[in-house]
Amino acid sequence: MSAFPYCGGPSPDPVCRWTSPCPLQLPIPGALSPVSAPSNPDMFALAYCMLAYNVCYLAYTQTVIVPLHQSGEIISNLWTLCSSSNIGRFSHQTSSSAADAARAASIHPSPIPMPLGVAGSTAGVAHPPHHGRMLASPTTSAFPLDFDTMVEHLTGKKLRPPPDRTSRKSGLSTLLEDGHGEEWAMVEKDDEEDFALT
Amino acid sequence: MRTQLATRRTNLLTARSFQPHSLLDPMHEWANGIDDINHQIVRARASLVEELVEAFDLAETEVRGPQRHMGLAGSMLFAFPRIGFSQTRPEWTIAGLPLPLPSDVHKSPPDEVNAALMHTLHFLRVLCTYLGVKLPFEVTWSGQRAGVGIPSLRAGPGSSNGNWSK
Repeated sequence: MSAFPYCGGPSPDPVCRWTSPCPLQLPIPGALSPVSAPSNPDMFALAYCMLAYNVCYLAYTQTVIVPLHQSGEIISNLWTLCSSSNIGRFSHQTSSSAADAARAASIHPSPIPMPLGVAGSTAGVAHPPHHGRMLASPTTSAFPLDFDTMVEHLTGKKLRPPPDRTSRKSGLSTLLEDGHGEEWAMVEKDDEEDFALT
Repeated sequence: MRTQLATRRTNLLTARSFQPHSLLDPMHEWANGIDDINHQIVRARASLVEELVEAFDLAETEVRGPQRHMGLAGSMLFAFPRIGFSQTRPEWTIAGLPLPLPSDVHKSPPDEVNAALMHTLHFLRVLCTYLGVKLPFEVTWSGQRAGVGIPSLRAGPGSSNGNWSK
């Protein structure tokens, strides 16, 4: 069985394309440390987008909608979701109360289409899809924010996933040995390779 | 034959009258008990999250303008703050550090950006533990342990039943 079962099947989760590790750290100029962060700005931007996407998804599970234009404001979004009156009601590990589940079902039959680009005034109205009393399985198939669209919005260009040449366990160590990630440079405007700018 | 049918009918009637009455009340009790527990969990989570926000000092604070990479001219401007670059602006911060967008990271000292990222990753990790939510992208560390080494993000694995959570 693949380590990424969502990548198989009839409708694989879109985020499964991004299985290569992207370092989320800036290189420190003049640092003497033998292990410093790779200096590929695209990899950093991708890692930042993944973190921002995680925050948007977490907000979505707690019934807070983050519009696309605000998706990169990580700390602001974290504060908004933590201030939600519905915080803690919906979880993958425990069920919500019958009242919450009934309320969610009465407002939005599952799965819930949530519009992108709407103002924050809708926060606290929409509910994530449920299976009965439980939060639906954590796939992003019902989550309307597309990762590729978000990457394009935050970086100003379309990026494709870097090739996954590493195993899951030795991912970053191999990456660091490859000349601080330079080999992973994946987007140049004149690059004709498969993972070039589209 | 008729005797057997009559016996069976009697048994069925007895079972029908017996089952709902005996099970309905315990089921209601069970459902109410689960709801009570869920409400307690929600209250506990909300309190924990409130404390977490305070501990990491998530706030909108006044942050000074660009400070680095300005050379002598920049130093002169800081020496005379009324001239420029000393204006503050509201910005969201974690532990007092702003987290700039990827397009603006070159305007901030890299060690401060890295510190803000570490705080954010730690905050998110604890928050997800409190809320019991699994995220699409997982964080791995070059030191093989959380918080040790350089963090990397990638699509998280799922289990065979399609559930990211444990």
